[in-house]
Amino acid sequence: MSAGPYSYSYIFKYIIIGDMGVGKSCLLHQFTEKKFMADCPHTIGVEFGTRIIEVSGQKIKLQIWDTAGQERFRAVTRSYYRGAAGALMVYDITRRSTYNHLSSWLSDTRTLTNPSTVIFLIGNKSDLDGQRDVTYEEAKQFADENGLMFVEASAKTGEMVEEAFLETAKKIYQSIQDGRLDLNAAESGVQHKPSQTGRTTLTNDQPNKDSCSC
Amino acid sequence: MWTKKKPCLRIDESYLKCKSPGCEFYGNEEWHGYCSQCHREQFQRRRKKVGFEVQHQEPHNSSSATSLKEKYVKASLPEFSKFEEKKRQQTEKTKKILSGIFRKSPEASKEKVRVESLLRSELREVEAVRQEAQDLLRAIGPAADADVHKCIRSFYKKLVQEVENPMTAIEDLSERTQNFYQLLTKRFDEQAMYAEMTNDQKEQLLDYTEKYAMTYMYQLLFCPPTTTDEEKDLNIQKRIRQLNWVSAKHMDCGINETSTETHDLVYSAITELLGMDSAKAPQDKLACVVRCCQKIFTLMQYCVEGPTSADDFLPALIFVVLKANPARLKSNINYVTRFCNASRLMSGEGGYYFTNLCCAVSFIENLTAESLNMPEDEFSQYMEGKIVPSNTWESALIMCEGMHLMNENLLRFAELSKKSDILGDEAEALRDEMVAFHDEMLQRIDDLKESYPLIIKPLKEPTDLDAEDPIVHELPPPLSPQVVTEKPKVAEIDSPESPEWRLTPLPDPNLTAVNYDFDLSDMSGGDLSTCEDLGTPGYQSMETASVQSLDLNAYHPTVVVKPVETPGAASLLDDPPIQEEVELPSPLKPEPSTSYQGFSSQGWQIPSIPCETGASRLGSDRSPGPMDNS
Repeated sequence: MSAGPYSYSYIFKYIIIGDMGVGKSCLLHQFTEKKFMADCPHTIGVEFGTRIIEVSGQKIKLQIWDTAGQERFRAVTRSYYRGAAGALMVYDITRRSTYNHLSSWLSDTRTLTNPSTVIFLIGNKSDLDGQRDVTYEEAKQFADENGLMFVEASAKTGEMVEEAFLETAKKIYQSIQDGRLDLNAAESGVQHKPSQTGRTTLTNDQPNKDSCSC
Repeated sequence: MWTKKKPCLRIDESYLKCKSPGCEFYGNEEWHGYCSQCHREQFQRRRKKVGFEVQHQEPHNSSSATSLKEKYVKASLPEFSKFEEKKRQQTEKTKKILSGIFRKSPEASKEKVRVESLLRSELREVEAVRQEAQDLLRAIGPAADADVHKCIRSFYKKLVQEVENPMTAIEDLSERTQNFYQLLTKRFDEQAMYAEMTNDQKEQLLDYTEKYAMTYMYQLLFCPPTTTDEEKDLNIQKRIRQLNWVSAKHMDCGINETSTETHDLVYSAITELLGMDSAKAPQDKLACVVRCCQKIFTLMQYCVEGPTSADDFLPALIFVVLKANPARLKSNINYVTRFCNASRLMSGEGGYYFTNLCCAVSFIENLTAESLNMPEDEFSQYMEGKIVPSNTWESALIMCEGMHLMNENLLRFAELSKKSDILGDEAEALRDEMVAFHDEMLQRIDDLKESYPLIIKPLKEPTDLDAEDPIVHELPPPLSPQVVTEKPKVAEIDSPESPEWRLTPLPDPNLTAVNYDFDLSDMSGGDLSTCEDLGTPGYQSMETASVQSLDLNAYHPTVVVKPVETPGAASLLDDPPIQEEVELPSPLKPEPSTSYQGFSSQGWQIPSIPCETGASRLGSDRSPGPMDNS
């Protein structure tokens, strides 16, 4: 009964944010398809991707929303953030401007998501070390200051891509276990899909408002 | 006034009268000091202010109210209404506060009628929804099936009650609906009758519930008159119309406007987006958005020639929304936001694309010169329609259309010229063939002429048997003599003598002449002299010569007469010519013939002679010529 693609306990919603051209879609594609986008020209756009991963024995379905990075859409893309459990903030290590914009992306994320949303900073294009414009140390410092998780990754080679997504999921799952994340809040970005056996493991799955109307 | 007036000893009549100036009826505390009529008017005015549509009044309500008004202003009317209301209440099995019902009783009943008619209009579609889900309902079993429908029924009864109350805000309905979805999800997880279902089935059942309930109440919940949705629809529509000059270039979305393939894809995306308005259930509307976005993906893949990211997608979606200008866009978005299961909107593909659509709409609403990367004054000029950019979608469309047509025509021309070339070649080939054929035929004819030239003639000879050229040449003599001179004589002779002679000759004078000539010549072949004498003139006038005359002249006298003259001769035929020559003048000589005008006498004389001789010879004098003739 719980075999097949629907046998997961949770759905986590991620969003990928960052300036245009930092490689958001490529990261997403690398994670869902394990391929670099430019290598497979037949791929239709990947701006919405899903993949089921396993964290602490629990199957979790990740739903990742790619977002438009253009400055002019910033004002209207607020609804992307709604109900995101994880936010992957991406910059391009070869372009300083994308790094400089991180603070504005961060403030957007902080204001538009709930406090328990996990924010993960990714410095993309680590394969282009020769053209590096932002040092690892500098970015690491920024991440630490703001309480972000940080990694340098390459969508092209796939280096550290998996880790970034998985670490985020682990952190979110941890929040659930700690009870920091209220599953029943619509904005949590996490949906619980209780399977027949896994239902009892949930902590705070209590009815909230009205009783059944029937 | 009524409620707040201080108690005093004497109550003036004006206190009991209706509050509205000039009204002679008594007022009622239940109606805020108005009479029933004025109160209703007042209430309706207030509701109209909220934008509520008031249905046409039920006639019996108002008439009964007015008739009763004068007599039972204070007590009877409320009682009457209460009675009606109670009946209604019983059927509905609802528990409402009586005072509340009193206040809104006329409106509530009207509202009920309106709601019921609206609900009824969707019944068929609801049934279709149920039919669609047959498989699922069968799979979950009758108990779960019944339970689900029981839940839906109780849910929409509650919701309808709230809708009937015009003061209910749409947000409350939305919240109630979302609660219903949540409770139902929980119920599916907890109730024993659903225990057998897979997660997938539960999801499907939840979707079905939503679809069923929302289709049923679509008319009530979509763009309800209590909201400003319609106004917003008109605003965004106007806004998009104003922005019709925005091109793909402005949006920076890499759509190549002048390509026909692009146009087809953009149109298919637009079609999907427009379909959103005709769908009823929120999830169906969502599905339209998803399909539209998938088309845009295909479009972007075509234009960008590679994988697409959200950086390309959102501008393209905005462009498509601008070009589509979907009907009741805001209403649709609000409806989906309010009544679609929130968990569907928050996650999943549908949620993602719907979010994108919301973003696109909000971008369009807030669009400024800055967001299009153009100077402020240029933007305002575009917006006021003072200038029109050269590369608008429309002009691109026209150009594209023109190009398309031109290309098509060029192709057709190329095809035609190719065809005409082929045709020319074929014609030439045909001509060559014809010439060759002609030559060949001539050659063959020549060959044939050479090889079979003479065979044709012998074939002709037998057919000319009648002509008998050589014989005719040999036998002119009998034809000639009578022609010129003796014609008249012959005619005269013939008629009296015997009609049978005329009939005997064949229509063709030549043939008869020839035949007879043959006979005669053969018979009298021995007499060359006569033949020679007669030959020349007869031959000249062959055509005119009459057979009878020839025969009569030549034959008659000779054949009949001669035997008579020479009884002693051995054969009759041989002798006569000799005698005739002697006795009769030769026909060739004109003088003797002319001198013998009395042809008849001569004719008579001639036969008479043989008759006499014959008779003498036979032994009977008087037997005349006719005997011989017959």
